[in-house]
Amino acid sequence: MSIIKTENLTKVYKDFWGRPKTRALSELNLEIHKGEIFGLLGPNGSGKTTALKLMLGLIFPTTGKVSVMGKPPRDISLKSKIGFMPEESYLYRFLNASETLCFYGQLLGLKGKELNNRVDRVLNIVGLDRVRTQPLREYSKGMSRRMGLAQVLLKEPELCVLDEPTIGLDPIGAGEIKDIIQQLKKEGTTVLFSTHLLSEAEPLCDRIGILYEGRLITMGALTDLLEVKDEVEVKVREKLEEFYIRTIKNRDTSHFSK
Amino acid sequence: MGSVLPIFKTAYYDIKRGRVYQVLLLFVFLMLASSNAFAFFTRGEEIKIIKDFGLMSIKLFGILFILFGLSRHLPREIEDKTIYTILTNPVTRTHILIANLCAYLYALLIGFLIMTAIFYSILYLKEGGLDPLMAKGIILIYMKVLVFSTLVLFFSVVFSPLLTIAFSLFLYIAGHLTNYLSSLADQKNFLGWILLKGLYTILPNFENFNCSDSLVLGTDVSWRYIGLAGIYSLLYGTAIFLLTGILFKRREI
Repeated sequence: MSIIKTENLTKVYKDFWGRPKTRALSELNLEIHKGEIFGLLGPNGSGKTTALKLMLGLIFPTTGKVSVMGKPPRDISLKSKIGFMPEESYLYRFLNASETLCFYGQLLGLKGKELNNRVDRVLNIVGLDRVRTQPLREYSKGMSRRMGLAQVLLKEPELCVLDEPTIGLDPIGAGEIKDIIQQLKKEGTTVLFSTHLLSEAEPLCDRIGILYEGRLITMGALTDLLEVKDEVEVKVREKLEEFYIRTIKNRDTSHFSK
Repeated sequence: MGSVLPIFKTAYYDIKRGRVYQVLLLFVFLMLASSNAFAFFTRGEEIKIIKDFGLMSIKLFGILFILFGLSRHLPREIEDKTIYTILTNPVTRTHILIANLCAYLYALLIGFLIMTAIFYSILYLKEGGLDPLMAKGIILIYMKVLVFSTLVLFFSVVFSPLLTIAFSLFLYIAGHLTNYLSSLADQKNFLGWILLKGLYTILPNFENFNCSDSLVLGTDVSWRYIGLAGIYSLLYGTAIFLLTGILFKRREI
């Protein structure tokens, strides 16, 4: 079952006068299945964040269609089922961790004991329960990222959309976030995340898609995409990083000249 | 609508701890306190000067607070991208507009109540009584700032804070000249009449709320007039708010 489906999804950013300025995404056809971890890979400026924003209904497609759980992404009934962690943790820096999570919980309609229990549980998971009364402006980058993830987990979402979830984190912090992503998958949550860090995608993703200059140049299960080299002699599987560089170098560029 | 309250509370908390609100409150407090000193130099007209100064200070607080606070609020939420994590919850864009506007109007009300208390205390010390006409003047100023707030919110959805301030100030000035536009229209040909009457209808008429001079001089304004001015401010404010909602729904963030 498809959780997210895009059909020829295209986004052209326009200037103030409505003239086309930047073609950020071209004819993206993508299906993300229930319960999988899907990695959207690509270098900076390849259209990853634009694709995520379109899937969340924050911006509108120029042409093409996107549906989330069979509905248009701006459908209000979807919002409590989707957790989104932006590239940076864009939270109110004057609130502390408890206040922040209570704020997001109240937006979901949670209150009283249920809200407090959920806040406690989530702060425990992300390891911020000891600094819960400290304002977010005093948090380190790693703590802020964990806080961003906490507001996603608070929703107990069916779909998690994570934009560069481990960017700027030290290896321990990144490892903790990866563990949480794997735990989400075990619980049946679909995870879509974007990254340009290939080492992050390889151990986590069931399937990946590689975006380059707004086009999806390849997509599939990691096991299918990564070729098996030297089958007879050593059996060393090709690393994702090698595959990524090779795919981008060998891309079909004929469509860019149009 | 349940999501409006938490956004309202957070926005109000942000306003309260913000520099614009605190500095303006302090500035206007100092203005009110110094009104007595200015009155000292105008023999025989001390009370009139204090009343004039008081109403002007309250109006200045309202206009500057909305102009420098509300003009930056929504653009900052978009620039800081806090709006991303809010909009991916069961919240509509209209909810965000309602909550933020209400937070500003509430902070404005609290500010007005504080200043009214200070203003009346000064008047009481000087006059030995409480002039009810000043309360009517303050209510009319609040209505005026309410209309102004919806205009600032409207521009802040489309433009940067700097352009929002410029356009809002322009409309604030133009809104004081609409009666002049109407009388000018009667002297023009049909096309000119249509144009000027159109502008007269579209632009806010801030003169409807401008009764401070007569109130200071002791000329009463009926409650019926204040009621009608209130209905005008609500209708005009709602129309501008609905337009703002349409624009904000179409805005990409």
